[in-house]
Amino acid sequence: MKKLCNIFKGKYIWAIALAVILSTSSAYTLVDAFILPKSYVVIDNDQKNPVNNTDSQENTTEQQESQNSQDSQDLQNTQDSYGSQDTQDSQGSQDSQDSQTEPQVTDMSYKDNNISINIEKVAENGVIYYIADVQLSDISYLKTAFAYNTFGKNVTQPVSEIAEENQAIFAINGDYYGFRDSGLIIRNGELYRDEARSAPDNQALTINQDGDLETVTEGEVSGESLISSEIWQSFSFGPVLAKDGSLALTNTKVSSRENPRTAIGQIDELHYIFIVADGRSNESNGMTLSELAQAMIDRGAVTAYNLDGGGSSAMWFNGNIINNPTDGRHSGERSVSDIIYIGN
Amino acid sequence: MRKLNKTVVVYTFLAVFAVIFTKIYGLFGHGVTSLWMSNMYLVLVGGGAVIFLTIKGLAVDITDCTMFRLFYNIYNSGIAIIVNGMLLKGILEIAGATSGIVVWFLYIGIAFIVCAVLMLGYMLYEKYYKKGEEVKCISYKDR
Repeated sequence: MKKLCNIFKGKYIWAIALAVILSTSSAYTLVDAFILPKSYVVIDNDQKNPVNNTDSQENTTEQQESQNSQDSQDLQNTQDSYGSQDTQDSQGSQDSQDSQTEPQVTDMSYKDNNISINIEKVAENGVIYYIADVQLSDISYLKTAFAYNTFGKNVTQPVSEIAEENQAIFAINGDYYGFRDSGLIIRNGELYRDEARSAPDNQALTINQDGDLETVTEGEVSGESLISSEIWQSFSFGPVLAKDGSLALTNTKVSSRENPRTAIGQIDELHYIFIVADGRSNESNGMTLSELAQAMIDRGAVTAYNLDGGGSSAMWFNGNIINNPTDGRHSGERSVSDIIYIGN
Repeated sequence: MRKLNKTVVVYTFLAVFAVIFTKIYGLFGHGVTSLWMSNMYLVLVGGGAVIFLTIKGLAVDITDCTMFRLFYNIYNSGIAIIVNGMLLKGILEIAGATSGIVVWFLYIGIAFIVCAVLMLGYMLYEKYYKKGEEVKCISYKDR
């Protein structure tokens, strides 16, 4: 016992104190980065207007829970068929909805007056991937949503749940913005984060109000300037896969590994392509970024951008996840920060 | 002097461990690597083993200075904090996450190193330039 006491009195006291401080601070850093949820803005789902969240985290959680239960009730009433999707948040597409006819829905397609979605499953070279060809009549049908309708850090929810709560027709995972503290984030015309990522991963994707995809270098443009130039959405992940119809990849080291992938591309005016590739499984090896870019270009994408992949890669349609999401250890959907979806 | 030998051996061992750890961690990173994590060993070799070998090779022995113990603790703490920060930065980078806290590990570690280097300079100054005067750097043996 005396020896033990001497350890704490003697020359080891410094080392012991340092070890305790370092362990504690490291644990806090990791918990803060990966686990602790922080909500910054809670969005009013009816009006899609952001409300600055100055309340405590507990308050936000209550709002999320009440919102979820309300959304779930709404979903019970609207989820039976797409034909009943006379939703309220049309955002400028109300006129066209009034004259909407009954949508034609199959396992892999959807068509109404304003939205046409065709999904193709491709299995080649040991990879299974899903291509969604989407034609819209107006950019307002291409939307994004946050987990629990909350912009924050480590606020996550499975793609299927976010999609259902927003009455989506089709959805893919987004850029998982909530895992990082930087990156330009504009969603549905609102600026949420105006902090550029550092090079070399600083190419953001923007979608303007005409529906055109463009890439910008974060740090060279500000969020405010993008908003004033009527940018509707922005995504901060990358890299850029295709630009002007040509391969745009520069970092070959990053692009050489096969992984599950998610990407968005534009073929023509209001004509988009979404690819989700399975990987890390016996059935599908995954895609390299080069293969993903080539798949986009082969299908006519003029601009294409890589979104969050790995275990996050998920494609949701007709009430189901249609691909096989896995992080290589666990099968099933991973909770993510945000989705891109097509909805009325 | 024996203490310095032991310190060099420990730093070398830690550098080897850092390399092995980085390789094993890389197996689970799905091809994503981090320069911060893979360069941890450089700090342990350059900032640890090489520095203490240099101190050992100095013409004067500063290990008997009363201030040496404090210098030793502060310097080693600085290296430990920096390497810990690099490890955390690497883990976050590989996961695709960021944290504003990690950079403080690097700032604090560098501050510790700067303090330690100033103390080292002071000890060398006392030994080299005040040989003829009363030696402030009292050895343990004299006490």
